[in-house]
Amino acid sequence: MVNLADKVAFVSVSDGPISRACVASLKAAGAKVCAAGSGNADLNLEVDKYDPASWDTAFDVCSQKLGGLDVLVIPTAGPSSQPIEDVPLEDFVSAHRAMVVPAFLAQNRGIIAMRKTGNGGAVVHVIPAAARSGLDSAVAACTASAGILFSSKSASLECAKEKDGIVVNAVLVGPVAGEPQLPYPKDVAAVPPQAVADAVLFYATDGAVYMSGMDLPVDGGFLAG
Amino acid sequence: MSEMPKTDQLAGKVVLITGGTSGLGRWTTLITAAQGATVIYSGRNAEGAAETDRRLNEAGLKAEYLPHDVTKEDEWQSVMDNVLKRYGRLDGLVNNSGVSRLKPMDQLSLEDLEYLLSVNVDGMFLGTQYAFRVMKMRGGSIVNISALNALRGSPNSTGYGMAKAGTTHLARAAAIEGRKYGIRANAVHPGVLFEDGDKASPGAIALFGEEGAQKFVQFNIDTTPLGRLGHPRDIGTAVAFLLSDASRHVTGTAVSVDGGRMAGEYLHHGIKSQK
Repeated sequence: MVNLADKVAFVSVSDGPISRACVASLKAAGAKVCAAGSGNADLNLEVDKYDPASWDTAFDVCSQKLGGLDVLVIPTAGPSSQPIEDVPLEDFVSAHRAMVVPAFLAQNRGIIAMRKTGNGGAVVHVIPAAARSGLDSAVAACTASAGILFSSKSASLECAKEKDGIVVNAVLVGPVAGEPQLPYPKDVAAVPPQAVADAVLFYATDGAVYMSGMDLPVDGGFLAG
Repeated sequence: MSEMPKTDQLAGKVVLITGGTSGLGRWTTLITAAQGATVIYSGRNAEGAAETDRRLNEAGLKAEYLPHDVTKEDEWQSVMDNVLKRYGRLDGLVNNSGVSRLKPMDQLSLEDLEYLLSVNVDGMFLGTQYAFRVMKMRGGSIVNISALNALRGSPNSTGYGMAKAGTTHLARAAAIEGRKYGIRANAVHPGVLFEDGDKASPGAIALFGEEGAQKFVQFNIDTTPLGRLGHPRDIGTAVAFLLSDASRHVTGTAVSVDGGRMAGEYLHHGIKSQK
């Protein structure tokens, strides 16, 4: 059983099966959990996900009320779209930014907040497996997922360079029931939300402190070939 | 221009190259024209276009310049209308226009991110989309010029890496969707490029100062397994291959033309430090 009894975790999204599984699992492991949006975390905060100042405030409140910030979980889901030649630019930009901007802000502002506490920490992105494979009719989600993945790798190197004790990793998820469905091949098995939460918990433990810039597929084998 | 042999590898093909008014785009324009393609190059910089034209003339080559801001959809429409009106087809698109802005994450603003995404992602999305609408009739090849930051993390790149990973992955998504139309799409990842051998460029000197720029050059030589910097010509040659029928079975891939920098962990550590 994972023990996160001395940790404070922040989950950047509160709705959807993956986020709910992460909040529940982090709490079950003993962490004090704050989540952006409504739900059953120990502390639920409203965040304007496109506003850097709103993220800063949320992380400050979390640190003050729960006693720090050790684990930051950033789940990002993506929608499928029309074929490339038919997607209006505004739809592409809207879908792309809806994924990358909250993930970018949560990651960068969250790391800044973690540095203030000075205790290191773990940032865990949860990204569609489309980050590493093109899909048919999902151009915005593919492009955004890969962007978030490589932003996380760059963040991991910046943290290593700063010697701030913060590690940044990603879980790449295949189709999950209840999440926006990307057009994965039909033979790819659906991923239980708990399997994703278990991978997040692994990254959140002190045992994973030497892993950074990595991405772990939890995808029913989709990325295996 | 003796370094740029003329071939007929791209004879009969109509190719559009964005950002052909400077650097890598200019060299790609020259090489693609030298390999027999009918080339249209676009960009925002009229002075740069004059220099590209001068180099083309010097080499006995021709290409047509069209003013073009790749972030504006109406300008894509206009450029594509022009291409089709004059040449009736489009066989190749090089999405070359790109921008960089490298900053630590605590200094990188949302405005910085939007600037990076608008050119490197949205501009290439529009190019891909407009090319699809034309190429779906008879197939074609799309080449996105990306960066090594798209293949691995790099400090000061939480925004630039995000944008360039999008550039590369856009090509993969386009390869999947383009399969039914005979449209291929690939990404090219240049290493560090210098036009003047191991001399620091005016841009590097402006950024780092004379001494700092030369140190920057030496660092990049030391961290490149082949022990030398790349030249834009090296990238243009790879792009021409991906535009040609010789690469007819190559799609959805990321080609690094980087002197071996992606072959190992040298990028951030340096080869000399391992000895």
